Amino acid sequence: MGVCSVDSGVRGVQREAPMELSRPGFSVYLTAGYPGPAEFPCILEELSSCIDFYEIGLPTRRPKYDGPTIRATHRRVVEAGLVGLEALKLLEENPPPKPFTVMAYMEDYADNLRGLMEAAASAGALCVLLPDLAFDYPGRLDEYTEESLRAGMKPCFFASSKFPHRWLVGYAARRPLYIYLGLQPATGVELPIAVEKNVRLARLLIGDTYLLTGFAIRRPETAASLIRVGADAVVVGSAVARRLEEGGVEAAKRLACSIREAVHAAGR
Amino acid sequence: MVDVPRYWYNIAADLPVPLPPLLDPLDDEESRIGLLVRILPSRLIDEEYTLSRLLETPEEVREAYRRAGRPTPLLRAEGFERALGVAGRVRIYYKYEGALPTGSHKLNTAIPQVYYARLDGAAEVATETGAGQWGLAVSIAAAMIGVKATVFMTRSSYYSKKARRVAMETLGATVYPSPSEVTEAGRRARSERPDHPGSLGLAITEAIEYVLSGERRRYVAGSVLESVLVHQTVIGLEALEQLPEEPDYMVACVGGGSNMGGFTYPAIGMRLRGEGFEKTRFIAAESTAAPRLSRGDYRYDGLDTGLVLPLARMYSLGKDYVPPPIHAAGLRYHGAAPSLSLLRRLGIVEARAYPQEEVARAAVLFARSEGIIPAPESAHAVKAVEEIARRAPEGTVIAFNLSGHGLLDTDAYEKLRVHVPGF
Repeated sequence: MGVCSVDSGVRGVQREAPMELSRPGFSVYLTAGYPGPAEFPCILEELSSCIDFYEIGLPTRRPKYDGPTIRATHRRVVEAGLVGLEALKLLEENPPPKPFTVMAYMEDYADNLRGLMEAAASAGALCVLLPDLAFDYPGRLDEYTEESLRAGMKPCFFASSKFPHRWLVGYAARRPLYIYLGLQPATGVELPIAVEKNVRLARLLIGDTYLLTGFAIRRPETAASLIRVGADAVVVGSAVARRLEEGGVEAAKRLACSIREAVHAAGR
Repeated sequence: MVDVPRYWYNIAADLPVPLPPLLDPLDDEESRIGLLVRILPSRLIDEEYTLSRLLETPEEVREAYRRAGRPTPLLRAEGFERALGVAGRVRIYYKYEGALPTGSHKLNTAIPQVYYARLDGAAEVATETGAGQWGLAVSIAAAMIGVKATVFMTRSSYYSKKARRVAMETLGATVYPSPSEVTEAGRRARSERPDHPGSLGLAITEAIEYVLSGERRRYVAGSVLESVLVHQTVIGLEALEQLPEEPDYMVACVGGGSNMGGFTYPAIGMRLRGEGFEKTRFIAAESTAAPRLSRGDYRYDGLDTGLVLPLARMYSLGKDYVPPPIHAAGLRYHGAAPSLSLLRRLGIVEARAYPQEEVARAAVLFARSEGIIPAPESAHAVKAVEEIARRAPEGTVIAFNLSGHGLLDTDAYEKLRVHVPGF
């Protein structure tokens, strides 16, 4: 690991959670507690000047929709003894300096959805994204929406690039914080898919609902192009994690800043 | 006059619930999904991951479809109705894919996939085959488009389906019996079981290993992948234009699901969008030798025996299941396409399994009343139609897909004749 060597302590500043996200927006995905519980708050702070909001994943033993890079981050954190809701305590103790949403797998919280929502809201999350909700628990969409609202958050929904149109329309009708369109079949894995065409079509279906796009975005020009065809924001995870591993936080920051700059230039 | 449709249909856009995605095995350091870029033609991958409901058929592919004889005919089975004793009570129609030069529907996806492989600069395509229908279709498409074809044919079929093997070789393809000595997976299977009859799951693993071990090679998929089912919707889209009345039943046989999906998805899509086919029942006819939709579990499982490909959520008998060597070798696959599995799970598609002896009797009855010998795989649909028609109330309309003829399957009929009275 690189530069981020601050030992501990509250690195963030207290903030009031906004009800909307900026358009355009740029987000970085980080698995909570990665690369280690001590370094994580420092990385959040270091990256804060280059992002508009964070997406923070709760470490899990089954990161099923993730590619090898993010899978490895989960494995590392879990092996260090931090898993599930325990990671939210880290966020409560070290409030991130920018707004954040939480990503978790419904499979881990199927018996404790309310507990997840309450803990995430208490930590300051704007919403909890459950990417497997639609695929493995489609009958619990209403319950998820109700629990989000009950906890004082908006719902946010995940869609793949192979998704029923009526579901996208239905998502939009629930007035979510955002709809997250997974552009590729797994995080960090880039296949030759006409992602811009899918973004255009998604935009047509969901009207002006906030559209967040992610999976395997690693270049500023890709991010800018997604904004130009109708995305409101992009999130980058695997590419940042690789930079953290290979070049430390400064390298990750340079990448994040370059993509954010491209996103905001494209959105003007 | 019906023309070749300009678009294929992607049912994922209309499904009542989202289609579970392909997954990587969690303990892998590498991504099987990421590996697809080295295996499949690029455009096929794009078609696998699209939000679009309609996918434009490239003009080169449409033209090849026309050259091959599309649109295929939709015929009234008046002779079969009489033979069943239901004439005047039940009307039976069939879409005849055996009219294509390969004698089966498989050419509908072989052409675009080989075309896409060539767009990627591939000099060779490799694939698996059971009875040889798919291998023959790939061999023809490869000959038409100008690339080499290599086919891993399940060992039991390699020896029993000599006519198709010779036809493939005549077209320039190299055909290996699977398990083979060409790949590590094949050698391992043979060492573990010297009399291994082969399975489609293992032949897929061999074909992919072969592709990954060489340059300028692409794997082309005979079934199961959603994009393959999308290509096959050319059958159902034509049928929608040709059918004179909305059927009460739509029937097709199921191996991996491409024939069933291709024939029924455009109609199922209309139902899901509230545009018709509300009363139609969609029946998947499979073999009791591989009854994945009837008796399989709905779960994530390997698409191939060697787990080279990602995991798919589907009805499966288990990736290591080796079906007994039946005559309908094209149905000897352990799983069914994810979308078809989901539709079965939701009760929109029903499944029925038949033993090959009953299927043979129905096939001979059809042959003697319609003048077309069905392929042993397609004969499962014929058997389902027979069963439905005999019990159906007056006015029932049945449409089925006769996915191929059996003129290259006379070995099967010869062996099955003992089960057919008066053969």
